[in-house]
Amino acid sequence: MNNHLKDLRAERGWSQGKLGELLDVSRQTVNAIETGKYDPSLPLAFKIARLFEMRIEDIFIDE
Amino acid sequence: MTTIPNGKKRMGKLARYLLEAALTIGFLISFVAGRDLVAAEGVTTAGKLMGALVPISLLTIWFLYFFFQIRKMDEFERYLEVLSLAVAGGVCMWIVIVWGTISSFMGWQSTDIMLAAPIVAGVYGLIRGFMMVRYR
Repeated sequence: MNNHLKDLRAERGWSQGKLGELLDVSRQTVNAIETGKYDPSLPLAFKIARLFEMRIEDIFIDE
Repeated sequence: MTTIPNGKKRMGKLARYLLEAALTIGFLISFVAGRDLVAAEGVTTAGKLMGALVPISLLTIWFLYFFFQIRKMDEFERYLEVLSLAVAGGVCMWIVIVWGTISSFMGWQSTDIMLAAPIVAGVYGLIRGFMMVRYR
């Protein structure tokens, strides 16, 4: 599943490690989600959406 | 929201690898040394069981530690661990069945089942390493 996570993170000037700390996950996890190698669980997707103050469907693209 | 700095996470991972390595080495040493000790004449059945309890205890501690470590991981890390274990389990099952079939057809002596331990550890290590590179 594609997503806008990388762009949203870049807009805020956060590194993958910083975003990982904010979401309480590893940098590796953030990288895997950004590159589309791993789809986050619903709780993590909600956490991401809350952090960026956006809706899940505005961050993740269902193709 | 509780956040753990990445530096601390890295240290935690290193500590985990070191402890697992220590438990692995402890298990192997206690297995080899214990087996040699109880092989001596005059050792009672109770003594042999006591000897076996040392590596079994270390193995059990290792398994419990691994289980609680997996519970502490984030969802993606847990996914990688579980996937690695599943693939390693399948590969090891294939190796053991193929080896058993060949041994049976060739009439070879049955192999010590303890050999499964280094095979599983080796295969799991290889697959986990591949996963680390693939998803770094």
